[in-house]
Amino acid sequence: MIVGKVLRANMRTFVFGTRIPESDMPTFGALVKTYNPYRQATIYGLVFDIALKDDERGMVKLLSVADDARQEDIEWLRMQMIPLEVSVLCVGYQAGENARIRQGLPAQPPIALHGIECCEKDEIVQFTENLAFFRLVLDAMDVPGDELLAAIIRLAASSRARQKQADYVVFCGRELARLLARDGARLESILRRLQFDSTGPMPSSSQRADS
Amino acid sequence: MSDVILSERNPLVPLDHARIPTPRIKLGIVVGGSLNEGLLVKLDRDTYIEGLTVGSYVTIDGQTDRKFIGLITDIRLAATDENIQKMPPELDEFITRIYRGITVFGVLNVKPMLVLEHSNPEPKPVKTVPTHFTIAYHSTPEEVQAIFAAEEKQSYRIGASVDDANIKISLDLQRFIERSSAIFGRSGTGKTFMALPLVANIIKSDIASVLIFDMHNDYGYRLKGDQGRFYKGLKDLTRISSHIEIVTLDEQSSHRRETSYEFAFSIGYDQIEPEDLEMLRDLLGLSEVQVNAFFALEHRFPKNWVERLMSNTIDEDIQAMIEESQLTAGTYGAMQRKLKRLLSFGFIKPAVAEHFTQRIVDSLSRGNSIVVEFGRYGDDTAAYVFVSNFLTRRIHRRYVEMKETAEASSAKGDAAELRKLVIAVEEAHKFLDPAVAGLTIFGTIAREMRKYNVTLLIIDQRPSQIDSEVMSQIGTRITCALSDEKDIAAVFTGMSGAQQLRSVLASLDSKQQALVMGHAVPMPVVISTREYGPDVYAEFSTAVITPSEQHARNMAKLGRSDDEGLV
Repeated sequence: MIVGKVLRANMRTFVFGTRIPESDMPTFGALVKTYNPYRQATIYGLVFDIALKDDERGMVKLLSVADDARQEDIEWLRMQMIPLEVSVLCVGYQAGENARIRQGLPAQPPIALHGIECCEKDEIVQFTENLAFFRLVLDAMDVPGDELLAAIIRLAASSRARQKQADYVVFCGRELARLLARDGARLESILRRLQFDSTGPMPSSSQRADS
Repeated sequence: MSDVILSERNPLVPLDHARIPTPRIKLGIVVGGSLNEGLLVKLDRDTYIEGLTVGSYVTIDGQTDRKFIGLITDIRLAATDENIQKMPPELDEFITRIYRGITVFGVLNVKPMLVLEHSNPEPKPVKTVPTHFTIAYHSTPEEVQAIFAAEEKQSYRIGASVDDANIKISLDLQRFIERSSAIFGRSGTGKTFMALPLVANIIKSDIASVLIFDMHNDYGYRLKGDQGRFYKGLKDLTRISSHIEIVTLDEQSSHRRETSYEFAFSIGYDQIEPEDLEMLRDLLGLSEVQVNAFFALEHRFPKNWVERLMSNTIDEDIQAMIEESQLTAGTYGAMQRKLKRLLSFGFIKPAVAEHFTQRIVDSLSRGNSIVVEFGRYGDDTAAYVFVSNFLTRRIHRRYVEMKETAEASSAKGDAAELRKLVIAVEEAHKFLDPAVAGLTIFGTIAREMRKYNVTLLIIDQRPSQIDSEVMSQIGTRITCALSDEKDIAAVFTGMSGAQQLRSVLASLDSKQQALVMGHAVPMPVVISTREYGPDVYAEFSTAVITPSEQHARNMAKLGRSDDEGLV
């Protein structure tokens, strides 16, 4: 399902606009993809920012400062599918239908107004088998990298069978430990975000806000 | 990595084409190091660091068919982030699982010792190192046993590997006696219990005669152990007892102990030479002038200088020496006084009928071994040092002569090899102290007597007090626990690249463990020493031979077959 279209893009990040209902809105850390027809490449990215935009008439701004805004007006405005700008960090690409997914920056950025899709569970599992994208996230500028990593790891774990979730998180933790070998404090802070109750499911069970 | 290649015929000998999978336990990978300083092996996450001990063996598969065998010399805990020591994370199971093996990990220091090549079962000294990321395993018992497998006849099973009691460690006795050797260990670590069976095996294998200066009367008949237990001495080991002669310095002590002896050793005044006294300088409090005066006296009265010196009256000749300023009256009196203490020992007599040293040399040459029991004099350092030095100087002299004669005969085609002699000496630091090592014959033997077929077996608790030049000549070192840092360091004197073994030595148990290294073993090994007792006695028992076996032996000796009869 197309959840939005590319507004702006550079090699490392792109932004797509969306007016989808809240229930279908991608969440922070979701794995999304778009297609570059010129390179025949699927580009994968992680949602790292979601910005709320005012509607064209400035109704949100008006209602936000109105002292006597009516509840039905607010509900009505919410039903109007408020436009959002979603920022995505590029973390991988697949150059050709049957090619291997590579974790790294694509050769070209996404094309404007191309559709954005949320990846399904099996795609998430496939993409997160390899953890080379961790370095891209940790090194990304102006991106809450630690939070983003924690979010994608939780998402990736929850996409797996329950009995494999705990081992997967440890697997990711060990990769993080290697990458942050000289920064114990940062490592620990990310790991704390990953901690889960081994008797229960991963808290983030979907990449959409449908819970 | 390839599996261990082992022969189906003999699992101890690696051979081509015979694959028997041997379970190997991976420890980690090589991440650095050098030939001299040892290799660094980063332990795998799943390796139990507590299960590893210094002194254990590690096998590292090389890039080719080589296998490097090394010894764990140190085990360390390391971390990628130094701050982790100051600021450890709040631990729980999850964090621990992640950190262990990656952020924090174990590192082994492994001293490479030998190389095994697929094509050649004979281990070779290591001259290179395995590359980065080669895999280190616990050495399998087969690998270790293959290295220490020695020929049965001239080897002595000194103990078992501390890693695995099934791995028997043998000393190559031929190599052991080739150079001077040493048994070190602090008091109570079982040096004598190790030396006695070792000496017994040298005698049993008939490769050398042994002369033992038995300070505490342990070696001859009874060795006193803990809790008042007694163990058999050499004379009680049936198979070799006929080759052992006990010589006593103290007949009364022998009578009290109800032990028999071949003869009582005594020294006549006329047999004493100034060199015999020179090294007692400190013990008797002799000055340089007094020692020189001994030489002057001996020069003047070669036959009876001691007798003249100890005479109550100053005769004309001595008076002449005093007048010629070769001697002062004060020095003369002091020399008398000081020598009197030595000459008061019962075994030193104004005149003896026989030159007992010659008797000892003859007996040694015939293939016998001799235990010199000191009786009550063992506790007197002056007596011990004097007699040991006295005897050994003369034996040394005789061996040099005999070796020269043997070489001359050999040059003429008459191959008469001089029998090897091992002189076992306890409290060796008293002779080999840097201050006196140059003066005593033991220093000379340690340094050069290998040429003359005489070597030392030094048994001592203070290796740090032994002259470093002597230490560097020691071929095989068997070291029990030592507590003094200086002693531990001294054990490695003259052994290049052995300093890393210090931690191995420092971690030995106080009893029944020893580090064996040097000439008689292929590589250093930590052993659980074999207990001296019934098992060892059994090896020295004389087998009961049935008449038919005796008949067969006789026939074999005569080179005849059964139907020929003996006559």
